[in-house]
Amino acid sequence: MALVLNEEQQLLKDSAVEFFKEYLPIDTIRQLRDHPDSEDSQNGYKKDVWQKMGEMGWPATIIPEEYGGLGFGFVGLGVVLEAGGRTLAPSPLLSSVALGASALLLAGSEEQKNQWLPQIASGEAIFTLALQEGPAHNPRLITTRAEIKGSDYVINGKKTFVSDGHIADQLVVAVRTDGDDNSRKGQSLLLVDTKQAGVSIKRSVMVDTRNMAEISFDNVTVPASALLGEQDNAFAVIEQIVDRGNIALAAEMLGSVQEAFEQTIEYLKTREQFGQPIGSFQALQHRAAQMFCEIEIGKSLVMSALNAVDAGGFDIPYMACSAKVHMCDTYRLVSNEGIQMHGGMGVTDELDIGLFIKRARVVMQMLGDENFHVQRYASLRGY
Amino acid sequence: MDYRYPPEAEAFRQQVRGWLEENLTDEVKGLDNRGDIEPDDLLILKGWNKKLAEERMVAISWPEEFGGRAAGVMDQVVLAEEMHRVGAPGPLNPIGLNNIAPSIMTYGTEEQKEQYLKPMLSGEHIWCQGFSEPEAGSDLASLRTRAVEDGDDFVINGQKVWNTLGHYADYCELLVRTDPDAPKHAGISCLLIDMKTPGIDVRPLTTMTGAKEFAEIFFEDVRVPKSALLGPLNQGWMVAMNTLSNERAGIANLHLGVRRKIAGLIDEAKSRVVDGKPLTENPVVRSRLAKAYMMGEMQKAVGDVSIAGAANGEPPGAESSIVKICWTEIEHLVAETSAAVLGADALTDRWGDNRLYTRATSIAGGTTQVNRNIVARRVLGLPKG
Repeated sequence: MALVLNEEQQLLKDSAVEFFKEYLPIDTIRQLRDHPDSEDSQNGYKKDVWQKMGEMGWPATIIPEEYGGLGFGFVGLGVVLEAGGRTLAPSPLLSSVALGASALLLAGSEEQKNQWLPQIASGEAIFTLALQEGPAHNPRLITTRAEIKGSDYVINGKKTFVSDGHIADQLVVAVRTDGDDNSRKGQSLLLVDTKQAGVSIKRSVMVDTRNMAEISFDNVTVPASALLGEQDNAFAVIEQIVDRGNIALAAEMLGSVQEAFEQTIEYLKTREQFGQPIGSFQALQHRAAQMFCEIEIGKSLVMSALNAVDAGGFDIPYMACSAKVHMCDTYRLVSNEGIQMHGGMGVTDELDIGLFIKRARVVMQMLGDENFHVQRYASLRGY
Repeated sequence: MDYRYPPEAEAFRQQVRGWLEENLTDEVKGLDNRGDIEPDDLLILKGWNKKLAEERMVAISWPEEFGGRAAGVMDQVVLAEEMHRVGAPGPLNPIGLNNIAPSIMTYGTEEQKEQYLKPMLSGEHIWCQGFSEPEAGSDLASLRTRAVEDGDDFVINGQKVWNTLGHYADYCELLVRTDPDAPKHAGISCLLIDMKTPGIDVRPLTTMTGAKEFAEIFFEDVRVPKSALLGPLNQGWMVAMNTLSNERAGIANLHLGVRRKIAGLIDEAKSRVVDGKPLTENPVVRSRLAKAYMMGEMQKAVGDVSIAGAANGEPPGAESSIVKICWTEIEHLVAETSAAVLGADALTDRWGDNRLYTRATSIAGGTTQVNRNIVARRVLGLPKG
């Protein structure tokens, strides 16, 4: 029964919670925001802490032992991301591992896996997925073209909202090698070094102080060996990568939601008005109880989804949709109610609750919002 | 999603499947074991219940001495799934089996266990609960039905209401006030009484769907022996809480019914063409159906994780209140979505009934509001106002 954490996973979770409290407490986000010229702020994460995370083995969680990983699977990655979600810890873990390593594991050749997975596992190489092209996630729409010239691909186009794109070493770029802009057929994945000539990266700082990059490709030439998986048939793999990304994201969201909720409950117990703690008011109690229910459902869903990935079952896409939709709804509810229940203090920068609503709005949008996933779920169910 | 089940549970599944194939007749298939049961159907269901009991398939979690299999939670889930899959009605006494029997096992005397459990299992005796009163609903502890000691007897006067199966019941687990001077939770006792005792008047209540699903029960100088007492005198509140917590043990499978309704609704939507397109292509209907389907799956995830926790020896958490609160919301959503899909067809027959019936889900067995109070105070530790 894998739906309960085993001893090893529980230890991993405990050590991750302690680690993030010590090395990436929630004030890290304020530091990055308030010192925009500092190296950390420019990077959007703390390099020294990332190195430590590498030593802890966290980027290695989902990577099998034969490629230098730990083979802890998605449940292992999930508990670390959940712990990081509690302090809104900025790190490229999700981009590099849930998206980057997944792409290699799902589509990479033996050679590609041998070359890159050990470097991802140690944290030396940072990977990310360059997929989206407009303001909204739409994996069918790929206009970035890769022309085949001799044995090379020549890439032209632009990608948006590439998470951690400005610090990545390698990009997994979704390109069109055939077909119309909106067609599932004709998509391919190419590995592109960010230092390659013709790649220009514009960092944009989002409301959550984290970074998304806009990346342009101007006649970027890569060899045939850069192809990840099959040419023209990448759509299914892209969906699988995105499913894993969303499940990982849902785990992060679960951690953030729990922290925001616990801070709110603490406030309800201590803040007094009309001569009593405001948490004694039934109007607030019932809303708190409702949030608790949604969070508990979220825990079950995230656990089931992480397990589904490790079990390799047919239900991964269903679980990805459900987990993402539910965590979007729940994060919205808890971040909004968190502000409301903190009253005037809730809208100040003094308290942390405002930091959660900012991250909430970004992650709800990443890799498809709930509307996208509700529609996708209907399609998956055959209607 | 069967990959989670251990091989023993899968073996049990095959056994159940085989037995059902051989024994489930068309006459029995699809009959509803709850709600307003026609007298003819009641006979058929009693026969079916007896057959299930002989095969030890009624309350498999019970100890073997009482006719169970001492089965674990996985086997219970498997049995529920298999019965559900082929439309086999469950046993007649869901309240007796799930709620009352565990309390008899916990607090009953040897005589009470001997006398009551087997006929309950076989469906020979139907049980109801006499808890709620007109003035004691969510505030159950304020109940006023009195039982006064008189020699070797109690004499009962008062009224109960919302007694599911009350008009068919042979026995009743009754909460009465035995010490009117004690604080309200401390003066309550629990009695097991024969419904044929003189002075008991049962009147079926008609719900808005027209079903006679439950009854009200009037007690006028009803004399029962003191041996009817379940648990210690004046500690009936403890027995009642035990009974109600057992009620919530059955909820891990609530998703089965609601998911079947949603699947049925999607099939309907596919087959109904509006403006030359199936309704599933109408963006609003499509979103609502997908959302409902997902909520059904979420409910299942909560059940699955809760079962895994139970199998791992973890004590039950707040999942019963959570599942109860959320399940009723899904039932309501599905009922309203049925109108978007079926139009006027959702005002009649099965779906019409469902639209009305589901309003009761957030009231019966603890209202949503009472469950939120429980979560807020007991789980979150918020102070009392």
